[in-house]
Amino acid sequence: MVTLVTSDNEKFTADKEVAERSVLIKNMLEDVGESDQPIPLPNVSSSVLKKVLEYCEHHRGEPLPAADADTTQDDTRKRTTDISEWDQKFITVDQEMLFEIILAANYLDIKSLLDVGCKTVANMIKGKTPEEIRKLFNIVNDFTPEEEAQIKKENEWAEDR
Amino acid sequence: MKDSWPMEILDGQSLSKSWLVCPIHRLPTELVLLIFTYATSFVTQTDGLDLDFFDFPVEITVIHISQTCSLWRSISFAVPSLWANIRIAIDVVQHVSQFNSVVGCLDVLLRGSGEAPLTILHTRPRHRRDSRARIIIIINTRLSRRSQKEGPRTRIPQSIRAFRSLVLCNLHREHPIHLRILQSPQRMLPVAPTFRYCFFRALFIPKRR
Repeated sequence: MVTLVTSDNEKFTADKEVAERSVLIKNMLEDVGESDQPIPLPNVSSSVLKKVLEYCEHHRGEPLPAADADTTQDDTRKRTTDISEWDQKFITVDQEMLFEIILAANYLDIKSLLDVGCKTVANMIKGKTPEEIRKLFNIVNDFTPEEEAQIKKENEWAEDR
Repeated sequence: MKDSWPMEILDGQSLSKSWLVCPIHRLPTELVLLIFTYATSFVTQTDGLDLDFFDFPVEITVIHISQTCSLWRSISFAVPSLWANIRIAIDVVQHVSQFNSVVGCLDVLLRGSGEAPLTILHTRPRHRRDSRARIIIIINTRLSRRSQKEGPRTRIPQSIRAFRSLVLCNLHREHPIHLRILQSPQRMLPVAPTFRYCFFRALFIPKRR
């Protein structure tokens, strides 16, 4: 078993096989060798780590992407936004948690979870107008007058749609 | 992440205080870029069939991304490959003004794509009846305007000529262009039933006038 300590000082225990789905944790365990020392995760809160461990537990035993995966495989991975049914349910959370999971997956180096999070956001963007995207993510329209003029020019083609 | 992405242009921009009210601005640039890459890429047949959502025959997600906020505009224009996956559903085009609109839209996409290797996907959206004959007539009208200047050509399937006319007429680039047809290539190209891919070299493409 591995003990993990979150940013809010909560301790979690997990099977080594589950925790090692994180490349960061795997490398840390390899570095320290056999030890009962808890692993500090200062960039991950307890609520987020709980979700991350749920994901790792569900996917335990599945093959991990090779560190030196060739670019073709990587390219194919980036060209599809399909998400499995379980992953879709898992990632159905509020935006606050969604982006925290993405940040944690990036920090912990869990490529498959990072993909699930980023694909979910990508699917939220697809098919929406700029105004709809701003509304969805609470983004402020901060274009300068020069940029606005440029955008208007870019959109001349849309007048005859 | 690819090494060639010009992160130095964007460093620090995503760390503005706006993340307090806008969670997506907490993400560092490389993750925002990964999201954009997913949003603008395609590989499966179902991906190609979703153009119905847009009510327009060209996939324009990257244009919408670039017009959302300054940060996203900077990121999207700094990465030409985001603009280089072009999805077209020619069958949707119903009249000349819409065709002109498609050409204008493609021009924006092609300018954004810079010199990135280009992938063009032709697709047939669901619930559409075949109006290809009509649009090919429109496209070939344009093609014929140039054919006198280009001189005699070897026999090229009509659909390929149409695509070349539609997409490549004002393009000059170093890299080959990859035309990818997922849906019914036999219907698309009756003279070449095994046709899947076609590469155009810049040398064959007339410069913009």
